[in-house]
Amino acid sequence: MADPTIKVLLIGPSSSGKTALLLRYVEDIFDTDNATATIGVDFKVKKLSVKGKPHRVLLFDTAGQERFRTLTSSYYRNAQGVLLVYDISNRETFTTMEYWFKEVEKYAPPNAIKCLVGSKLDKSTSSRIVKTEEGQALADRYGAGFYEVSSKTRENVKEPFVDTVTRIVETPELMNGGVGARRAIATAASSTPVATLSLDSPPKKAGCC
Amino acid sequence: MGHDSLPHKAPPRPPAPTPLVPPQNAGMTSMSTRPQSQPIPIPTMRSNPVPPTPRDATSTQQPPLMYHLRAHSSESFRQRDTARASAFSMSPDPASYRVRINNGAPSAALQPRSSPIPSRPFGGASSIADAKSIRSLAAASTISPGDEVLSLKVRSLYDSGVGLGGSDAESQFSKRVSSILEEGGKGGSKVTRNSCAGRNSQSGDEAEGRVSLAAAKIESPLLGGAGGPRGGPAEEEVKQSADRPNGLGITSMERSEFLLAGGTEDWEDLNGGDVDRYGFIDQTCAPSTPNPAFPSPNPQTKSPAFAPPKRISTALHLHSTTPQKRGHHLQVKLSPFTTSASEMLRSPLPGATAALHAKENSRAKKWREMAVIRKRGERGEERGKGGGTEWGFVTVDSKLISRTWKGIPDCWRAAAWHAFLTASAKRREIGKSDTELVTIYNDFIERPSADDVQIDLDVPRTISSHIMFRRRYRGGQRLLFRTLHALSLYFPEVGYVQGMASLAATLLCYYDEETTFIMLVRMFELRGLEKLYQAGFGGLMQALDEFEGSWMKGGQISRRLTSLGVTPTAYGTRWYLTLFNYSMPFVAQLRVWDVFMLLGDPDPASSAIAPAFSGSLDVLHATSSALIDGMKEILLKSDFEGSMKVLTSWIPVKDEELLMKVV
Repeated sequence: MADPTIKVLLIGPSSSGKTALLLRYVEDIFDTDNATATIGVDFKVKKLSVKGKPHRVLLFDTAGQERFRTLTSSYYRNAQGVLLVYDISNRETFTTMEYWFKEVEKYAPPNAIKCLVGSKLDKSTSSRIVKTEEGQALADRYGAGFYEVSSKTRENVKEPFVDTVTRIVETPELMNGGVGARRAIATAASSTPVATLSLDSPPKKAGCC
Repeated sequence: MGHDSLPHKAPPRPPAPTPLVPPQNAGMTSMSTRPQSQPIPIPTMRSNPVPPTPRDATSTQQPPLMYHLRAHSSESFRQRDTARASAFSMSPDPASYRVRINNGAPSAALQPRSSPIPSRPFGGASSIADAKSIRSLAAASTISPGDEVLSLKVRSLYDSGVGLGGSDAESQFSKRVSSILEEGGKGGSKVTRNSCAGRNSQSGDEAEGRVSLAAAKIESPLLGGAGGPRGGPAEEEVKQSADRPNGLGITSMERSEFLLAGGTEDWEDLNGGDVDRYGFIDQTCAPSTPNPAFPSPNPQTKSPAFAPPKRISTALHLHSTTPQKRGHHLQVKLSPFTTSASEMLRSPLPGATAALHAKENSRAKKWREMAVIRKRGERGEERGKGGGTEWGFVTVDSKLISRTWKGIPDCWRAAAWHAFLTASAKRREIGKSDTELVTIYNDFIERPSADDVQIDLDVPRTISSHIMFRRRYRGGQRLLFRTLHALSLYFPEVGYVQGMASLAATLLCYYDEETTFIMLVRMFELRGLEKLYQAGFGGLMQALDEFEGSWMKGGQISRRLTSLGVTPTAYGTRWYLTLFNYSMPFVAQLRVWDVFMLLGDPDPASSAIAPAFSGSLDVLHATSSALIDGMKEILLKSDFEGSMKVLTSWIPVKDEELLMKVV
């Protein structure tokens, strides 16, 4: 029996730090010199142990530019969790969060776990524009988790992922519904990119956290 | 020329004082110094990056061959640059700067600004072209004031070459913004122009001194051969100062000794040997764990297959011990390959350096014999091209086609790509001539674009491991910004879309900014890119459907991927939008582009099978198939995660010869 698979999506405006957050979380890399704009979607897997049970978290990193939303919206389907990322040193990125929440409501499963993430916390003292309270208030309004993180310093990087996955695991209908939906679509050979259960990977002890 | 943000209200350009126009063609007199029948590069093109000679003198890693073929002699540079420098020092009147902006194109500056853009397409399709240019202009003028201020802000950063951190730049910028807002744009440019004239006269001596210093540098044997056909530091200095007569350039463009090739290349902290012949900084200078599946090629072997994966490292973090971003993806491909297609992921045998040189030499000669001179590089003849010799090829010649499949010799690449697209434009009677496009380019540079902020976000994240694109707001980044800015205005319905930056950056490795713009426009119009990038990505979806339907054909891999839920959208988006720039080594990408430029014309006969693109994307489809075929072993064994990992990551094509054969 393969480990349960969980699909989490990273969304947010261009240059808000989605890819940096993912790279730091999954590979513990922070490298601004080689940062590139994400075209379409990027994909990573992280093994995560929740309540002693290993899970495989499929992480989809999406392109932030508005133009790509038509492409990325199909990835919302069957996402059990969504991380919405903005940049605390850039007001514009925070303002668009309302829109991103609406995207989630429109395309993601209704009870998908949302988590608002304010990135670039290392700029907190030097160039913070969006206050913590503002972020918290917005997150509360949409029933989302909230974290401020720094991919640069590693501060809080794990928390939003762990929290989101834990909440997903604690929501049985999300776990069952997610698996069922994925199976159905996989057998129907849908043209929508969806995650399927890993067929041939033996259960492994998750080393994370 | 950079200060007129409201071009409609700007006065017509003053006539150019002709004696001040620098001799565009001084470089071409050095033909006799070229060995044998070596090709003459179009002078407006960038040279291959040339390492700083002093440190490189003992290096055996860089073949002198290509530099030889491409670079002008330092003598010719001196002539040209001195001419430019003296022109600059003689003309403190800002109006005359316009003449030398984008110094390959004096003709552009002669166009009265208020007159409609002349439309002289290759054939009878003038109405389409007209409509397009009018649309572009209309779109440019309907930008919101907020966007315009943002656009101005972003553009001023690239004008000055520094970030907003510089207090001087900041104050200059706020001055310009307030003048726009207060005077409704009418007097804005006037104010800055006046203030600039004052600055210029004050700092005239200083500027001249620096220019001659830079010119002296070129003369020195230490830097002999450095700099491209576009000119050395002096030219750029003049260009920067003249280009943006807002005062910013004068104070902030202090020339660093590390900025070579007209200031577009940043060699700080780098040795010649750390940079490959295409200008990418070698990843081996950063500590990285060798991957057992892909033994790194011997850097001493200058096989054309050696290209370090881009974006992996720069010497800026030599001390870094963290594993590199892309390197991790390689681990999924540890399994041994057996099929012939997968062999392309392996490096060919090391050694045989001399043989490869000889081969490239003889190929270059063959290409010279195939080439037809379309326009001899007489001064003033082809004004938009800076008087370069323009080459043509008989694009239906079977020999040309087979030789293109084998790879265009790098010294011929720029000329050949340009000739291929020009021929295709003529045949299909689509688009505008070079001269017209250069005029439009120069006009668009002045206009605000709503996409400037997004472009600015992406420019520093585009192949930053290349010597041209390392320095923020300067050099290659500046050129990249300007070409993308103009492109976003030329195709207003498409605008700027992420992914375009990597196309423009690749072209900037071969062309100057105007020609890059021309090439981009042609690729968009003639090679289906406009469709691929169209809003909503309907064109891209069609293309990917076409790929899946006509090329994958429900084969073993296709069935496997479909059952896993991995669709072409997941991996093909990046492949098609960036023409593989994100996904394979530069050398391999160039080989694909060679064929794509030559054979990317739609085939009327195939329109029944592939109605969407009429076969114009066949080269891309074939490459995608080849890549997937190469990864067959892995894909058939992998689950969804593994497949996605392989397909969305860097594919280390080591043997592009084999790749092209498979294609």
